[in-house]
Amino acid sequence: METRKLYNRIAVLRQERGISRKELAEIIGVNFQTVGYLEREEYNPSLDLAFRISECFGLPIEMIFATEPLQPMSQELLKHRKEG
Amino acid sequence: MSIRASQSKRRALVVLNYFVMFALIAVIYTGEMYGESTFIAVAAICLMLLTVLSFVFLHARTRLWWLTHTKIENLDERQQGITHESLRTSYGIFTVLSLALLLVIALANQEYDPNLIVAFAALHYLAHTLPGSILAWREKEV
Repeated sequence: METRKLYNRIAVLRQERGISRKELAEIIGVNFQTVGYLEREEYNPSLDLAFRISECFGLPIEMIFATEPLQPMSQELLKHRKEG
Repeated sequence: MSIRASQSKRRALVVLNYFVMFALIAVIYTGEMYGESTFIAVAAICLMLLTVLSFVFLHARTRLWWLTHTKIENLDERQQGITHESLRTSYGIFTVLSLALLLVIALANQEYDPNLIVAFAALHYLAHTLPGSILAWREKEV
């Protein structure tokens, strides 16, 4: 079965919070190279790892991962407000 | 160094490592067949050094040896995935090479030895059925 590519905001969120790849890796319990793979969207995390990342950033999973290329967070918030 | 350059370097080391190792085996067999000489001894020592050096640069310094030999609990999910794939491929290649070698020995033997043919058939059967048998033993549903 072919797996779908998953897009994510990990790099942006990590930089916003001013943490290094090594620090993020320690928090979510993976090797720091795996953080690089995740940020380059070359590796789809398991559901467990996706939850750990979402807990680390304090955001729901759907704000971090998507099956379509992600827009900047500000644009999505504006879209949500208009819809609401 | 970019990721692509690093990967090309690793691939070059893989080719070099196996090349010098097979060259070393060829030199040792040549020595056994045609008699040992100083040239063969020097060539064997040089090739052995090259094999060790390429092994150190490829497997030890890149921590690939650790990645493929450590306990699974020490690896994260991506590392588990890539080592699993690598071991799966290695199992196939190693099985084919071992069985081919056994078959060549069995057929090249001047005196027909049925034990080698039986061993070849048994190992061939085992190689194909072992992964399925392990699944049958471990999994609740397959």
